[in-house]
Amino acid sequence: MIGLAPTTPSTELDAPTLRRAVRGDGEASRALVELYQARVFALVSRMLAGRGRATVEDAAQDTFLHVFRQLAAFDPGGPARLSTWILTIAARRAIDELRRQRPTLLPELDRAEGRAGERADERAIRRELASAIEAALHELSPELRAAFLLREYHGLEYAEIAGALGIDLGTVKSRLSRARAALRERLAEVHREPG
Amino acid sequence: MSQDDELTDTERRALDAWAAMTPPPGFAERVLAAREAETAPASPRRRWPVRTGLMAGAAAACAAAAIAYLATRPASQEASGSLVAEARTEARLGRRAIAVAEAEAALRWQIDRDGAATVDHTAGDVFYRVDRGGPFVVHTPAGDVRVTGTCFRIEVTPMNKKHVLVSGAAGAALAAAVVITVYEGHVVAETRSARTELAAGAQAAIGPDGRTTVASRAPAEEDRDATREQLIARAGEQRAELARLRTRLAALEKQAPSEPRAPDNAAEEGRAWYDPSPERLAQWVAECHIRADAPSLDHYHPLSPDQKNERGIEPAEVPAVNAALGELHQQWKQLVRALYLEATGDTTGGDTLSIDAMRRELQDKSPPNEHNLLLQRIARERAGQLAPPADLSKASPYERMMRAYLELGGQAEAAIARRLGPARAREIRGDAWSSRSDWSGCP
Repeated sequence: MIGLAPTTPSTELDAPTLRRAVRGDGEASRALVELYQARVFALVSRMLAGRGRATVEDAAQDTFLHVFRQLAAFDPGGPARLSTWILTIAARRAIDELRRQRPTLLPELDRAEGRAGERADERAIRRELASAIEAALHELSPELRAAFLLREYHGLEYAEIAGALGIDLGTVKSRLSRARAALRERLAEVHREPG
Repeated sequence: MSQDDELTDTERRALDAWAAMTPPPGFAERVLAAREAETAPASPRRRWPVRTGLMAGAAAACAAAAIAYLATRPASQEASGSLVAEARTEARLGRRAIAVAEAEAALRWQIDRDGAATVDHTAGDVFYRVDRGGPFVVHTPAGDVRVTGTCFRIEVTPMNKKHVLVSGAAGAALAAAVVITVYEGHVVAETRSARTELAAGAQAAIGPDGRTTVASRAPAEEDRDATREQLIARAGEQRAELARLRTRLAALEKQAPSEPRAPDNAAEEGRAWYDPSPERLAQWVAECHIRADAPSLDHYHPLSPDQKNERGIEPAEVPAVNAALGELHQQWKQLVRALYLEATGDTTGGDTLSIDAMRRELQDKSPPNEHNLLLQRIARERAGQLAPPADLSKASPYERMMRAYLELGGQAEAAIARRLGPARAREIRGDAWSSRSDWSGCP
């Protein structure tokens, strides 16, 4: 059996630390990166699947540099959580990268990592499932890929996704529906295969 | 579209199978350092010499050569490069070897920190002088030539990369897959099926089937013991062999298409070597010409803090540069190994072969025309005439390896930029990384 889906951390940076980060305080800035880096990597690495760790790290770093440049403009009292705002920046950065249409580099990396205590058969099943999910998402446009990931892996609301990506709310819902159908089809193929 | 359309719990659990990358250790520090570099006022830095070791040109005609790099380093013997000669060109391969390449000769070399040298000689006629000091291996399509200190000449027919000519004395145009003549010292010619030791004055031919034939040689123990009749018979066999080889060479030369002329290698005014102008990229389409620079990742050695380096890397920067290039080296090694396994299924070789050896195997396993087709396509992509493939998962291992290699220069700069900032990374890369490659030749 595969493990349970990881829960998205719900914590947000506290207001005093955020204010200090806005003023350029080093420790507060570090705290911000450390709190959100796993979520940014989770989103960006799936958005840029197959493009290699270096590309992912570049995108993640650019995300945070952009966050710091714009942090003073972020409104903690506004409708968006800081995590949503940061993930939106990360998604846009990844979309820009995908639009460059650079060829896949170092594609075999990061796919074969085992998990602690995982048996060989579990690992094989997980790889198949991962390939199926990745293949289903590969068929989506960069924006819809981001929308799917923000929804299914990061728990954003439809309205947040539509606002973040500049896509009509109805379009987000209908296209995500099609994406889920494609995903189900891929997963069904995996389960139909013998062994 | 409806709430019923949402993923089920089971489906959500399946999503977990697709693992995400986690941040590397020290990522936050890296971000903060980049932020600091971004906001700090620019400080003057020592720029590393643009071309510290340009290809030496003994003859005036050397200037016409298309050269893809030569750099020697003061603290180690490490060097790498490649060369396509348009006219006779003398090149220094590290500290202990000189190659004189005739027109249309093509070779690539890698000298390790300790002086061990590997040369890929794929076309044309090259004379080598090698001083003692460690392994020196010339790989040809038909076999390897291993020396410790000697002079020898290798010629590769341009028509068919599988036919290699190694000619001996000047003007002795022997024709066979491989013919080796040793002027000084000692040479070992190796094929998959034979290992032949040759002393000074010896000459041997290696056929396309890997069979080694000694065509002439210096007097040896057995010759001194041979009868007059035996020596006359042996000389007759050798003359007959030479005549057959000359006939074969004439036939090959008639069939051989002319090699494409390599374009000017120099960097353009105001541009780095690795960054040709759109106009030059457009010109290169007709020649199926592409260019790439990369740090020495096939034979990677980290810098030591007290080591002088030509790129002006300060001692305090050495750990960051080593971390960046070491990580890229590991990724490159993993990729080449994975592609090698995919192409050959050879798990033993994947565990033991060097990166360089696996790359050679990948090229050898590729279809005959693939390399040139790839050059043609990438040249068009770079000129904006063709969209790069969005998905390379169906591409051959060789294509994936080549495309990944072409990105190494930029990736190395990016990896250092993450640690030292983009401006400093650009300074360290300078005009180009140490391995500079130009490829050309249309299908």
